[in-house]
Amino acid sequence: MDSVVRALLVYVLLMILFRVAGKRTLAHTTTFDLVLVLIISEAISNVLVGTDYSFTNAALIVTTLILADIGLSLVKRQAPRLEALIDGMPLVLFRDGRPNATHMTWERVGLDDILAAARERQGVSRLEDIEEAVLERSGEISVIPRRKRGAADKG
Amino acid sequence: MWRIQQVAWGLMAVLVVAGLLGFLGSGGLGRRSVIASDGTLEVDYERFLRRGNRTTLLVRMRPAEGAASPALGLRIAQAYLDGMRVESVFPPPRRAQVGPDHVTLDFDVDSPAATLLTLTIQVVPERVGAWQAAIRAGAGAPVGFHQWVYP
Repeated sequence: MDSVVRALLVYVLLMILFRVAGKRTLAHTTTFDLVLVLIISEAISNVLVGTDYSFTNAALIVTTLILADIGLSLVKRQAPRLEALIDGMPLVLFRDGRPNATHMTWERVGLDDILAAARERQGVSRLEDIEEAVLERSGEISVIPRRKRGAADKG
Repeated sequence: MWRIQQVAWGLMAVLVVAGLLGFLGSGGLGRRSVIASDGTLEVDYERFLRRGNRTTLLVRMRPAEGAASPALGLRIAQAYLDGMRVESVFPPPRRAQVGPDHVTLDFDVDSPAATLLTLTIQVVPERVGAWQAAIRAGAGAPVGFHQWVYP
């Protein structure tokens, strides 16, 4: 009984904490973010498993967590406002050569982060070559390069 | 494929609800109580256990009427002890006697007039499967119950 309750509590706690922390907090942007994720999982695993190392307990906890996730995704499909509350919305950080200062400040994203994403995903190194940069719900920055879109328009 | 997925979700929900109700061990509706036919013994136990996870047997004994000695023996069948490791008995017995198919724990009783004695036995299930327990207090009627141990 308590395994299911504890798994659900942990699920809700982490969902709230990570939502409040913001999209970029643990988006694996630095090595330390990854280390932090590992430490958090270590701390939480004690709460979940306790002293019960049985197969049944592990199966029950994992099933509960996955089922909670499936259930929430089904609910989110029906309630877009709840989805926006839990997952947030994609935010435009940069468009037509102008950064959106409000979005960038609130989400703690700098121009260097946008440039890093542009280099990694598009092989673009200059701000002028970026058509649009969007902070996705996942916390990743997607970049649409200027040249590519221009070429597509011509063709 | 999607049909299989949905069926699997249903099975997962059944599993989680069963766990929530205590049918997979660890509390909930799994606690039961048995009373000997002559009322000398009552045992509170969990029906569903998990291997390696401690459980408590709450034993209440009533000395048979007119019992001469102020001592009380609790007899546990050996078959039950094959699958369970007794971790502690509180209060600790004055002495333990080993028989061919049972273990008897003797307790001193404060006064012969004592009507109800409560013992706590902590047990760790070590093997998966169904275990049949048979316990009796002194010469009273035996109490039997089943415990199922999940892996």
